[in-house]
Amino acid sequence: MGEEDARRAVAAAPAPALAAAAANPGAGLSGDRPRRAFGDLAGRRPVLAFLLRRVGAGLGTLLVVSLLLYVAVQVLPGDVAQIVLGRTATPERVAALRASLHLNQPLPARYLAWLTGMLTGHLGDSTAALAQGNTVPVWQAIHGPLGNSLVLAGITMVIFIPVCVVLGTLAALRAGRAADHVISLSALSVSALPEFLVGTLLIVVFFTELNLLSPIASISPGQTPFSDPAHLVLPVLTLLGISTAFGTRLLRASVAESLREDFVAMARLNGLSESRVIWRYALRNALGPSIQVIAQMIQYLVGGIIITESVFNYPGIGTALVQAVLVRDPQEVSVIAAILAAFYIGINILADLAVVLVVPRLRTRL
Amino acid sequence: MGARNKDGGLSRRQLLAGGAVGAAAFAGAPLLAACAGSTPKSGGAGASTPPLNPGPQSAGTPVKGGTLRVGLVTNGNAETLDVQKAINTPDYCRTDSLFDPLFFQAPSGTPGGVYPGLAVAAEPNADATSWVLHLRDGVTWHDGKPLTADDVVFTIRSWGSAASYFQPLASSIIDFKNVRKLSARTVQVPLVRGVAEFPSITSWYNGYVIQDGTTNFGKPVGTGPFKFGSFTPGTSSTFTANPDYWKGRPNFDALVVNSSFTDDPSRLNAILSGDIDTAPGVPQALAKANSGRMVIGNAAGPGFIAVCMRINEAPFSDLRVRQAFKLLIDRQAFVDNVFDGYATPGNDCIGSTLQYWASDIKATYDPQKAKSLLKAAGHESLSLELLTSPVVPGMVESGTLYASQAKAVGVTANIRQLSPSVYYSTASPGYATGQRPLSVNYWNVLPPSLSGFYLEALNAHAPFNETAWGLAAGQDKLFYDALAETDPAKAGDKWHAVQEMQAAQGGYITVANVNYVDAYSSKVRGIQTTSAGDLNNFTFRSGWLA
Repeated sequence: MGEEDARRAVAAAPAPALAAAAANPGAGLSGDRPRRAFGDLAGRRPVLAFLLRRVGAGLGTLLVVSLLLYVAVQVLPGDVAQIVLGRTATPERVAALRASLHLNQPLPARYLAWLTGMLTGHLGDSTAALAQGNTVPVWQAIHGPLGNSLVLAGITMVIFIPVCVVLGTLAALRAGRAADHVISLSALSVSALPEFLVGTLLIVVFFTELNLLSPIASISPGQTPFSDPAHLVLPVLTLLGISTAFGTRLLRASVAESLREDFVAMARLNGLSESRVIWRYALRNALGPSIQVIAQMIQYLVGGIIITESVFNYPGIGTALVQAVLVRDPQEVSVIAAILAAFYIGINILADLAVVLVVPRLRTRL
Repeated sequence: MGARNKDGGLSRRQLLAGGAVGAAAFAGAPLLAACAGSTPKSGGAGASTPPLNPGPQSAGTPVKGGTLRVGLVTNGNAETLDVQKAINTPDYCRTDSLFDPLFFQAPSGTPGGVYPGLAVAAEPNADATSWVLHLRDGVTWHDGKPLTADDVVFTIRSWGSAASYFQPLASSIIDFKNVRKLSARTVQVPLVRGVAEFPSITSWYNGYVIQDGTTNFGKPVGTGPFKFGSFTPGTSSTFTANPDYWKGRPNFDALVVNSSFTDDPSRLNAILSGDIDTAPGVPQALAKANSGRMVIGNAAGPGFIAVCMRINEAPFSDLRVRQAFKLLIDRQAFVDNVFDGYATPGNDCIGSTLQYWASDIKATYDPQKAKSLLKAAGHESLSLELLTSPVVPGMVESGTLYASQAKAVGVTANIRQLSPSVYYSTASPGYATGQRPLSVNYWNVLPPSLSGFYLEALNAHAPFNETAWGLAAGQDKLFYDALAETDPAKAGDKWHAVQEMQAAQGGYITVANVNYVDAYSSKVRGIQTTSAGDLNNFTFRSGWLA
């Protein structure tokens, strides 16, 4: 009886489903799937459910980040009233200015007012400007720098992606040989140099010595980055130097790993042409990490290039943020930081989505 | 971008010189400049003094037209065109071009320190407690209205309002209630005490004349050589020439003040590449490194950096300690090492190049005497904190050099560096309070007279009393006496007595009187660096581009 019961029990329990359920919670039979957000949806439209979950989490993260940043500006020593008044600050003047700027209201109330404003599209006015009697809407002050940063990032990315793919693949294909050594070593050395050094060396070569390009990439009000495209060459080269060095090494590693897989050997044994093997098998399977690399570069390029902006005096969003922090402008810092945080989180979500779309296997493992 | 001579190849000096210009605001920049050492012009390293030089030539026939582009380090969204709230170089540069003062700050040697602006003359009564200002004829505002006494009365009264940064100084001497117009071209200004150099006070940046009834500076209307065009705070402003300017239409068609720069090497790069024409207020190390490649103006002025002692706080309440602290420093070393020769040794009397300044008083360097004074005062091994901050180049270096010289006489001055954002804050340790017994301070621009500076910082009621002067009974008597003396010969003697007292007992240890240093492209003419300030206190009306 025991033996037959055991056999019936084993027959009744679907073994593959058990194994699958152990490996992939959420996949397999409906009876075994744990409850999770958008449960039914996850069964029928896994990608959509995944996207909704990630967006939800992203919004939550954004909220927490905005709160932390708002508090961080208050915690920094010095405040906008003191800094704007500078030497002329006396306790009375500072108190009067803070009152007129509504800075002496309790922090939770101010944060809620700010948050409401952000959600309804009112980005407010720069506090430092108000302290000096000017009204400068934050959006007016930052939409130019934001656009400038996006242009620079866009141009760099358009060149970065093909260069990285080509160099990384080449290095992986010729792994261990001369081409690989040259590419990897130069990538390693350039990525070891600090940004301002790369930028400065480019200035010395192209301006001080060759007098070909301007060392300053500033943009007058009313002009766009494209008004004088030659000004963009050196900043883009500086950014490319850093990012392609980094990206090439990562791509080389992922392509090399993908070339070691069984299916590549199988494809070759089946007699497929080398270029087909590389394109359809090796590269496609190296796409997952590549997308992550590209996403990381985009994030870095939009908000994190303050040093390159400083060397070339390029009016990007990084410079705007640093200036706002130096003067402790609560409104401007919070708005810029929230926009950049939203951008970062959005890129993350898109990158993950792209990876999921490109790697079909992941869709059932969500 | 002009042509450039170059040696073959990229020599180490060229790389470092290029690096000095390109390597941004990192601590290495002055070091790189020092390594680059001699420029093609001067052969030796270190102690050569750069010559005093007004910069561009002013001889020749002016060329009409062109746009003057001035490059400044940004002050972000706090930049303003409001005369009453102008507080930094970008603000001064702009308001000086849009507006005029009653009297202009003059280069050294001009009696009274000023020359006529919108006021052609100022008559005091016998004891200088009441002044009558005579206004210039034929001056019109940018909107066409004529300048009247009502505008001047409104302006002077506005100096006393809480909205004006001029209020602390102005309210200490002006009796606002009784300022009144006597006729269409005369205004009476009664004072609360006698001030013989009153016209020099009116030349202060926040005192430039505004139109009667002005409430808003969104589209400012002034009488100045340039009219408002556009302004983006933290980025740039464009002004156009005023064809009806009372001194004659400027040669330039337009003035662009580009305040988008985040650091000084970028500004100098911009001059080399032709993106701007002049960069005022250049750090000394960069000026030295670039003196072969662009025109550098170098003028002695009243600006200074000083180690300040609060004379009513221990240990400085003991006069012997103050004297010891003054004797222990070798001021020439500061001029050579901290300011690269773009300065002169201080003598603890503020106001170098100003009228009545005691140039004959010299500071002594006597570390042995300093040691014995400290011993007599019972402070053989004194240990205290020296506050400083990199607000301007040279402040932190001055603090460090002072501390190392103080070590030689047994004083341990521990450097505490604050960030520039909090250096003038009222929070502890508050600026100009007893919470800072020993600190480094700087003054870049001053009201152009000893009266002006002493009213600001060296009397019991001074708004910026960094050294706690005047709090002991009778300490200010000599000062108020000199302040009111209208006879120039007697005033000279009285001010000398005031300064002798400062040198002997005061809290200022001026390490150096710092020069005004500006950089120009080779095309600029007619604008100079003078003791009145950078770019002759931002005077562009007589300049042109060759």
